[in-house]
Amino acid sequence: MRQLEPFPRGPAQLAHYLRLYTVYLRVGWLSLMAYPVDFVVRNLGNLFWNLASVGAIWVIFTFAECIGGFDRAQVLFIYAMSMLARSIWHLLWVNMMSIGFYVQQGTLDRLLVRPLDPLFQVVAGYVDNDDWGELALGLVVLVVAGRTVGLGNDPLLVAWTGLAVLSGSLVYAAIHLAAASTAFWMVQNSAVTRLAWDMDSFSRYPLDIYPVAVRLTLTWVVPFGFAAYYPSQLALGTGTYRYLALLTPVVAAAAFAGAYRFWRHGLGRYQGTGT
Amino acid sequence: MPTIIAERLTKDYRIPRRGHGVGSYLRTLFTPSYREVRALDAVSFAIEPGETVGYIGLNGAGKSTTVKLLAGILAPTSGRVKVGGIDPHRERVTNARRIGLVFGQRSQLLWDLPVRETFHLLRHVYRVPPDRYHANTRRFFELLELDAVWDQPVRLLSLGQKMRCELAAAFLHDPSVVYLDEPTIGLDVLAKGAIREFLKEISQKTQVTVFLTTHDLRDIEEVCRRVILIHQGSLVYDRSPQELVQEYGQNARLEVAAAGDAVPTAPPGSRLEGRTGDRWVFTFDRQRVRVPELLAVLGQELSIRDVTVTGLDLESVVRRIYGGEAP
Repeated sequence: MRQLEPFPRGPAQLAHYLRLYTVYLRVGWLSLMAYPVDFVVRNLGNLFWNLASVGAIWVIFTFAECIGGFDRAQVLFIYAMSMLARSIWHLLWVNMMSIGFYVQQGTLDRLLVRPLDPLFQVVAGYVDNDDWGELALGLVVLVVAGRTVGLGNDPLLVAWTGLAVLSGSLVYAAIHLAAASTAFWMVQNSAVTRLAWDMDSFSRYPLDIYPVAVRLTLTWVVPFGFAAYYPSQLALGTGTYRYLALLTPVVAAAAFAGAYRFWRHGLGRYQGTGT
Repeated sequence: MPTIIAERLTKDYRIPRRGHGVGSYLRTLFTPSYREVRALDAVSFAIEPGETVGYIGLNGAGKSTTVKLLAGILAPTSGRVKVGGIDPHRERVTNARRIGLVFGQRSQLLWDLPVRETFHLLRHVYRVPPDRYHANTRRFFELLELDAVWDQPVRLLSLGQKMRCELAAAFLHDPSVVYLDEPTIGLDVLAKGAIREFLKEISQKTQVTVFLTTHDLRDIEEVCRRVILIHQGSLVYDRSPQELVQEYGQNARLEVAAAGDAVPTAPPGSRLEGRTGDRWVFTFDRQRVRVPELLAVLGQELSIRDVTVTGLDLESVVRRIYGGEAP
């Protein structure tokens, strides 16, 4: 057995993974660019779809003053935060939704014989090709709506909004990772990943418009409420949940930690070490 | 110390038990019941550094399960496996750095990109030092003719070219052990030949241990010094391919091309196996009867045009073992 240099640990390990991440991203980009027309058309489609959704909100407010106690600029602000959080998750980590496919096809075996964390390989192994429109539009709407609600005057709140968007992405990641990890028990789990995918629309509007049962679910079970709604309360200075808003980064981190444990548990089951 | 040690290696899979009909299907949703299927049953072997071992068996015999246990993908239900002194499943990452793997059916090549991009990625994944990277790719250019496809997208390659790339990718980081799960499946004669030549060359020149599962016994006859045969999850044979043929393959095969359709009687010491084309096929025991005697007897009945004699190859030997025939 040939002796090998030990792999780096601690900060050097993090550096190794960051460097590998750039190598993987490069590969992902090159793969996308193998089909440039496909890339352009998909993103145009995505942009139009999101423009239509934002337009729909605009139209609703020609009939109503407020929705759930929020005016047009406030609703658009929440909607934009949600778009940004979702698109960042989508662009970087959407491939976690393929875990079920990896389990079914046995592709997971390929990941397990490489000296890397398997989740890293899933996430870094594919660069998404069709959500750039949402990211761009989300940024524009966030800036415009943010100015209208007077956010621009307070650098602290701007910084908070940035942190909240990143936390929101982590919430998305946690929910989709947990949903995808059901594949270790169900094998065919596209119904579950699809459910999580469809439920994310709930994160886009003020929770106030939903019945209490739905609100509780979106807060404590499938915490899409923390993707945009709760953290926006602090930035907007309205609503009754400003203290819950402060919890957003903690909730995001806890949710992701829980989802990661669930994934590891499922992986152990796949390998025959779990229950 | 052996590179690979398997001690009473056993693997059970849990298969959900499902009845027929919607009603019973729904019942199993809420009260699932499972049955255990034993894929591998107390298999033991030890493989020394530098050995080239062929691992054969029918579909479902437990070949892939064994490879997955040795590679650390699965944990055994019971028994023990050590590769290079460590448990490949518990120390998955350490083990993964030392091994290379070719799954004939599951590619690790980057489909849409030129071949070189896969190697560029693997170089970073395994932290291959620059001098080793250049030496190894040069060797692959030479032995596997990778230079011809280096800049071509993988999706445009032929099956044979892809398999050469897979093989090179598995050897890029100078692994101590390489597992090859059916590397020649579906390939033409030329591509198979190239892959066998590469394996022979690399196992002679380096200390790499090669563990090869295959359906093609020519792979084993040409490349391996040792053959392990499993059947229904149990080890049934572990020796050299030559010994296998000697022990089970006393019989040789005689093909006689003759005109006419009259079925000949088999001479003493031989057996008529059937007819392929215009040829009658006999098997005979070399210890008991010799070819000239056979032909003398057959010549009285048939007008013989042509004759071929072959020793039985590994394939027919294996078929005899599975068929339960006494040696």
